[in-house]
Amino acid sequence: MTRPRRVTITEVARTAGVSVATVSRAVRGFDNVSPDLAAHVRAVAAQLGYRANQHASHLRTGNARAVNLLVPRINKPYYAEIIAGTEAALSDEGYDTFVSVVGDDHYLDRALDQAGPHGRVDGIILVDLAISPRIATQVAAWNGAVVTAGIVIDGYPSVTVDDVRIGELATNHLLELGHERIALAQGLPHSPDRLSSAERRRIGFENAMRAAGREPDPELISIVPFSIEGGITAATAMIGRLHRPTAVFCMGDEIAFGVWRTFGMLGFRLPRDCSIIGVDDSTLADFTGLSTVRQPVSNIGAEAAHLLLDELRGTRTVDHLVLPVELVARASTTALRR
Amino acid sequence: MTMERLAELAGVSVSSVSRALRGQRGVGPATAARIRALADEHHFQPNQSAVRLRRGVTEIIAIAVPSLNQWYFSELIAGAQRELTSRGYDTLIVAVSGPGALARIVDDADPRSGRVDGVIIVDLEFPPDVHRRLIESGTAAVMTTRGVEGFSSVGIDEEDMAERAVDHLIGLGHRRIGVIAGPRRNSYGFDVTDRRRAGALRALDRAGIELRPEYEAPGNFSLHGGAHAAAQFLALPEPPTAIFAMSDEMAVGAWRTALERRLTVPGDLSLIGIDGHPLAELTGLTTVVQPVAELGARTARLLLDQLAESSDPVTITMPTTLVARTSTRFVGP
Repeated sequence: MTRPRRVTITEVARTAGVSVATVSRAVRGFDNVSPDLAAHVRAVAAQLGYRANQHASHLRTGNARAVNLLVPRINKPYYAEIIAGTEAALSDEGYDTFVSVVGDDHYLDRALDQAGPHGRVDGIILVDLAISPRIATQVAAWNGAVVTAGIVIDGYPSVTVDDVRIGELATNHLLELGHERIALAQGLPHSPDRLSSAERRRIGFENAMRAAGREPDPELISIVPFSIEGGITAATAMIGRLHRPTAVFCMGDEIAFGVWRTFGMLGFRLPRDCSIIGVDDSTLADFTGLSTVRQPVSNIGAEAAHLLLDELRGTRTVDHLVLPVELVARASTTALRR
Repeated sequence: MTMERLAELAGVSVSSVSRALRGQRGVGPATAARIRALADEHHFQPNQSAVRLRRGVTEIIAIAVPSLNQWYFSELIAGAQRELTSRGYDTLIVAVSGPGALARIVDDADPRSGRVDGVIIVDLEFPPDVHRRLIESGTAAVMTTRGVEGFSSVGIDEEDMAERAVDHLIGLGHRRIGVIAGPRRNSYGFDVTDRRRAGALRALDRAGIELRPEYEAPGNFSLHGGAHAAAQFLALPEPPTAIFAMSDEMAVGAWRTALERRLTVPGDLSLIGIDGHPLAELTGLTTVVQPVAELGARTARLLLDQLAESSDPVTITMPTTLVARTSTRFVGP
């Protein structure tokens, strides 16, 4: 006999068209969600028969009911959103979230050391972090569950977004507006030893350019950190080129804001003199009118949590979950003036 | 046999039993010996956690915050985490989103549960019964809210920060000053808004300026909230010439509204915020910078110091810095 399936917080988020973190706040009556939105979320939750699992038992019988989330950074909007999504989904199922910021190669040693059958955590979620060959056998021998997010590692379930598609969507948008000299501000990957999301986005960029009969100009490609400062660096370099670009594809909204600020300070009229598109769809993108490719950031965390819980229950249904992305055209991109 | 029953038999508090079994200070040697004898006599089997407790450490510190995906909290956590990691501790991050979660973190932090060694409680207020439990259980905790009896705190002088922001505007010659406030007290949040408001009023008072009711609007600590509040001000027959927003995000929101109305900042409107958010640097916003990451690190250091050696509660106030950029302007004496 099967139990009626519990409606998850992620399903409520998807149906309501909001992030998992927003559902969590709305359902629990927090006031940093606008009253209208909160009412909408609660109505959807009620309709789906969702119940917040606030009083889940925390008696630890045998297992730790805790998960270790390993992230490269904590105080970046992107990672903060993933952490919030993971925490919301796990606490909804009565699990605690340990968050570790990982700086060096030895992070998994410590994480595994503290895991184990009667250890501190039942599973590990790696966000944008690779498993180095040095430690791969140890990870494989560990009897806890491992799930990755933002990166695909053979043998472990993963949640990623369609990064190639991100590159194609952004580049095609600029091409359709008539741009030919399109610069790329590529983000520095966090895990240089694997095919990172930045490299996948670059493949999408190159695919789209070539499909339109344009060869990407290496002069117009900069590789910079995923930050505002990175965008400032990229923009400054672009201006020094003989043929400056008429459009810039930035691999993150933060990079885009840095480019925007630099061009703005130098007297460019935007978007007339240069179109700018980012990736993420942060609150600030919506607020400032930045065109972007939206990725469901908080759902990446929540879906990773669900995959991990499935692993723990032994009910894996999917190996590699790829979340959809979409183009959001706003005021920062416009048709090329000839 | 439970620790509670053991406490009853020994005629002491549960926290004394806990301390005695952990070999901690605060229980006389004779009492401690009596408690340990009783525990042996009744075959009190400490669980896995309790074994760890007697060793004295789980090497985990919990950080309880109202939310995870807001700049202020993620910055603070990052600061605390760096410090904790460098001293060999792991961090358990808990978003306290309701009374259930609050009770849970208090359970976790209870030395009897052995789940964590201590807890950093960020911008959360709790009902008296919870406070009593924290005290009675001998929980090691450091707060960012000042004046919680029995606990150390590391904080910012909220009133002073707001006062200096408004003083800055007054010093530049502004008399018509609007205030964009944060949300009023929510069920678990501690009241930043009231304190910053008090500071702003102090500055206005001293300059003999009365805060007109129409010069005050709530902005929800968000970009959109700030934009909305500024729209209200700018629709007034006599709008303010300067705005003090209680957060940088609200100030930047107000900036966008001004631009939409074809006003220039600081030509037509001066704006000042509080925080030191990356947005402030990006946009050139004048603001009072709070050392958020350092505050997080300081709470962690204080908690670990207190675990090493118990001491009387202390109150530490972190310094803030007014950074003048391009959003405020002198308008004459």
